Amino acid sequence: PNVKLVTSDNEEFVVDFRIAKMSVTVSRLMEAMNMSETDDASLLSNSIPLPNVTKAVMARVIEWCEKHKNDEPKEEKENDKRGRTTHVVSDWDKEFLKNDEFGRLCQLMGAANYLEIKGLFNDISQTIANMIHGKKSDEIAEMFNIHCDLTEAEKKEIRKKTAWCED
Amino acid sequence: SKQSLPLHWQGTDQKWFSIKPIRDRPKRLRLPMRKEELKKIMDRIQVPVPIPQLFLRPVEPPGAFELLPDDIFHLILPYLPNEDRLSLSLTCKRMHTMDRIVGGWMINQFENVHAHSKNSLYDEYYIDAKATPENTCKSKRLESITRKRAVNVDNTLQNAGIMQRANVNHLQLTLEKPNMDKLSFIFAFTQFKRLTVKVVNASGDAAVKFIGNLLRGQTCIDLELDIDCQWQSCLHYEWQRCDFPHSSILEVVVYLEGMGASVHWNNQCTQRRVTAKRTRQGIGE
Repeated sequence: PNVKLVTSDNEEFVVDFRIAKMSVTVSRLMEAMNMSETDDASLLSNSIPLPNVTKAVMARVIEWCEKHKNDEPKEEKENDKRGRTTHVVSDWDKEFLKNDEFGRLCQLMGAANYLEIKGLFNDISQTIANMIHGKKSDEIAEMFNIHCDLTEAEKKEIRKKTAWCED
Repeated sequence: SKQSLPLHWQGTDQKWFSIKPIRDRPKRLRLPMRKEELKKIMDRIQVPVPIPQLFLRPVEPPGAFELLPDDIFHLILPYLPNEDRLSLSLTCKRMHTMDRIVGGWMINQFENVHAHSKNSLYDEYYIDAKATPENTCKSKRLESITRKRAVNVDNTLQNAGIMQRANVNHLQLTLEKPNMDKLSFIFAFTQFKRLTVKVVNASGDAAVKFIGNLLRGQTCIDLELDIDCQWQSCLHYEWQRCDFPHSSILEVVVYLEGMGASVHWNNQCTQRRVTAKRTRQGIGE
């Protein structure tokens, strides 16, 4: 069975029911609209509006979902002993995201966030985190075009307060 | 005829409800709706929505959201090790502030967070951090509350670690000033369906800062704040200035114990109503 998803720019995507269910948001909406896998009529007569996702982004999301539709459900990821959220991005996912610059990653992240597709969201978050990893503050500021308004004294104070983390 | 539900819905009791836009459902909807009718629909739709919606801000047209660049950093902060967080924090004031309110920083000071508590569900949870040394508190059993599972932990941050991992339906907090700063940003990313907070021995500005940090990111529907402070005018002033862009709380009622004043705030951002009914005498002016 297929499900119709309509993006903010009124583009209709017809996707497999399993793919639609990968999004918690869509899944909830289908449930609310009494759409079930066994009820073809309900699937045909209804479409799911997704006002926060554009056609271009939706196509990318579906591409990701197609690849991952047969994945085993992952257990809730453990935070590492330092309280950090950790996520391993697979080779395919790295390849999938590697050509996206920050702006596009943000759009995709926004869609993953709205659609509640945890795997995609984790992949993007970790990818952006990896972009930051190991860089100094001025390098990060340059990368994200951030204007630094902290004085040296303020920076020193912050470092002093967080000295415990620099082990 | 088919009728679409708007994103924000005001019931006949003047309460605002926030729901995901659902086209063509429910059918034969009549307006205005009574609270009971609305509740039936709300129950069926299963709001509130968990964490992700926090970072989306409603924009035009109705039903649309946007995710701002700032929010991206909010989202990825938990993915960064402390060293990277520090680097990011040093890029600008805004980033530093953001970093302060996102939990995760302090957990590494207490690595032995109860393993068994991870991903567990507590219907209700109670922390009493009152009159205890900084960083320490004891959880107490509230026998009168049913379906409650209390855990025996003896450290505020351990509690916070549990909060981050557990799905807590109703959190009851009693805090005094020394614990507030640490807890406020830890809770910023923790979701509760119900939240009851009592703050004691805190000045108005400290209480409001705490509330501001606490409310950011909360999507709970029932929030009750009980603040025992002597700084009513200060609190009101700060409260008016507060902006909670990420909050999805529908309505906030603050009870200022000892002053009989209550502050109501609904989540329409532009509408804040402050009422102060002095029911007790001799306190504050």
